[in-house]
Amino acid sequence: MHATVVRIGLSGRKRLVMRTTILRRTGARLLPGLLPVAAGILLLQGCLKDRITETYRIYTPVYTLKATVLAQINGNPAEAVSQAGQLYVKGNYIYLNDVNEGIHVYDNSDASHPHQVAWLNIPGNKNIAIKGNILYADMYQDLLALDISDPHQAKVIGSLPGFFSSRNYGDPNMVLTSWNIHDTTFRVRPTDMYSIPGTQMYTFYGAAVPAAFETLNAGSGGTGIGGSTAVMTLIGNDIFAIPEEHSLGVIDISDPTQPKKLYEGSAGYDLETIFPLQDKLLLGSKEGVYIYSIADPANPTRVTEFVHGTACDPVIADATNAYVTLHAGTSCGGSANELDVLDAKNLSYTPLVRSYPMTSPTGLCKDGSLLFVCDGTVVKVFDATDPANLQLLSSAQAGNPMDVIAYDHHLLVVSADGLYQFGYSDPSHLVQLSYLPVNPSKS
Amino acid sequence: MKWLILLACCALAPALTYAQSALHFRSTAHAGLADGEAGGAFLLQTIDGVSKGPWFLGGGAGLDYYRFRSAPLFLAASRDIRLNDKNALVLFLNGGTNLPVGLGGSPPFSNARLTFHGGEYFSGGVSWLLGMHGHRGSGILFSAGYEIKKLRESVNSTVVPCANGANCTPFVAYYEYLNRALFFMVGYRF
Repeated sequence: MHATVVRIGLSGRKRLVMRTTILRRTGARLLPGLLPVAAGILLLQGCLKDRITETYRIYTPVYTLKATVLAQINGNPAEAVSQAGQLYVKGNYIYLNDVNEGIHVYDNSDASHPHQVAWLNIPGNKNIAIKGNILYADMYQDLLALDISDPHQAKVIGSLPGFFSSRNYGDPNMVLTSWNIHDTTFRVRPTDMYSIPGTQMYTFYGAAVPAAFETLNAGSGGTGIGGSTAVMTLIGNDIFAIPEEHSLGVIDISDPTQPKKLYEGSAGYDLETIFPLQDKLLLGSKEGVYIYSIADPANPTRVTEFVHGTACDPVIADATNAYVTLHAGTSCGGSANELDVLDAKNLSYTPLVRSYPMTSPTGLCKDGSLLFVCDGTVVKVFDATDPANLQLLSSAQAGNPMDVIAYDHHLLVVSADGLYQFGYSDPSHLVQLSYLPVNPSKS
Repeated sequence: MKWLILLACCALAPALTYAQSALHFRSTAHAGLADGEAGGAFLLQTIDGVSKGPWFLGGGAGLDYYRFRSAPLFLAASRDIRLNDKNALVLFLNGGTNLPVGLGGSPPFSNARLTFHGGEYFSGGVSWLLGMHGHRGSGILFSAGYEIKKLRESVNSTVVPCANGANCTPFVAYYEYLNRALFFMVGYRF
């Protein structure tokens, strides 16, 4: 009540002066305390922001004039292997593809001590086929013919530009020879997560995965042997290849200096491998196997196809059976890891004989009644006398084997960590003869 | 300089006072919420160690759901500032590692593979100890503080489209997360 009387008793001006004075005094007391609090709040705003950075790698292509690149393919001195790819054998020589880099040439006269004799520097190379002294190799989208009479003096004698169309990267007068690599780190907002820039900075894939498979007697005697994961095979005067995922192409090499495209046409979906069998071609795809007649090489015709679950699937065959490995856990899709044996006596009807469970099978090959299969970390030897009842004879560790070639009691296994060589005179006991490691640090 | 020496003496005086005290086992369990740019998240912590006078040193482990579920493992140090017989302010500082829990794998409809790796963990703050009669140093804790926890994530994926497995080019990106949040917890110390 007293306070009310006092307040009522003051004039308006006095009340204003009194309030101002109180505020000034109070403010003077509070200000020193409020300032740090205000500053703290402002600072906390920054301190409560999360910081997220992303680091990714950018690859910038380096191009070189094609004429310069071709001039440099001349049997350069030996180089270490950075990423083993396709394998090809002819005579006493082993030709090992270094993925997208070129071809290493080894003298294998002494299987216990193979040694590198030359290096063919072919950018973008993944496939090899040889007839006589002429080596055919892809260089990204081009097919090259090299005279390797003397591997140290190899030279390009012919080419078919643009055949492997899926590996076309632009200017046909230039060749992609290397990459400039640098890491980039930048700050992202949480809402930007996974909208990752730069993911399409480089991708070079092609129909050209692996090499070529040709049986020892597959033609004119002047060819060599390739692996089961080939996309290029040489029969007589023709190269059959998968120029892109859905096509089959034929190249006439009767004149190696002027390879000519004979045919190219749609042949199936997601084609991966190509295997010659008499006058037929077996095209392995992610969905199954397409069989083509090549009685007229200029006009391959489809005979039949058989379908399996989606998977990566190299295929080989002999006169009575076809052998397919299904490999899950890759971009090919599928969940099966198995070896399928098919009855191939009548190629227009190829029923499944039996499926054998495997760990992670990839390449395979056959020598007589022996079947060799890369599976997981080992290469397995089966007695395939009765394809409906394969008998495992032995196995040997081989890193991470991808493909295998058997000839003359020598087993060549190309693996992620190098090239293994085994003897199989006694199939129940593989004997390692040699091992050539890759040198990943080179890449 | 004189002020600094005086300040140091004041700070050390209580420690010297309790220098002759015996070691005591002490345990704390906390639960609460963290709040930062990524929103609110649940926290759980337990700290065990020994105290001598007002000082405490121990180890702690927790579960922290802020942005990513992770488990901080840390060394914990604290100091009590007695207000009266029952109550005290507790200044604490923790530092250690922050481990991912149940993170990683492949997101649905993606060919990416996510892998998380641990990072550093720091936190600090102040607690109000509401003590209990006859149990000196024990009581309910109301804590507020600030935490920094780091995680590292690698994203491995294949560039799409990719025709053949052997030719697919892997794409690898790394993410560094520096997560910062205020937290408020309630717990019990004995």
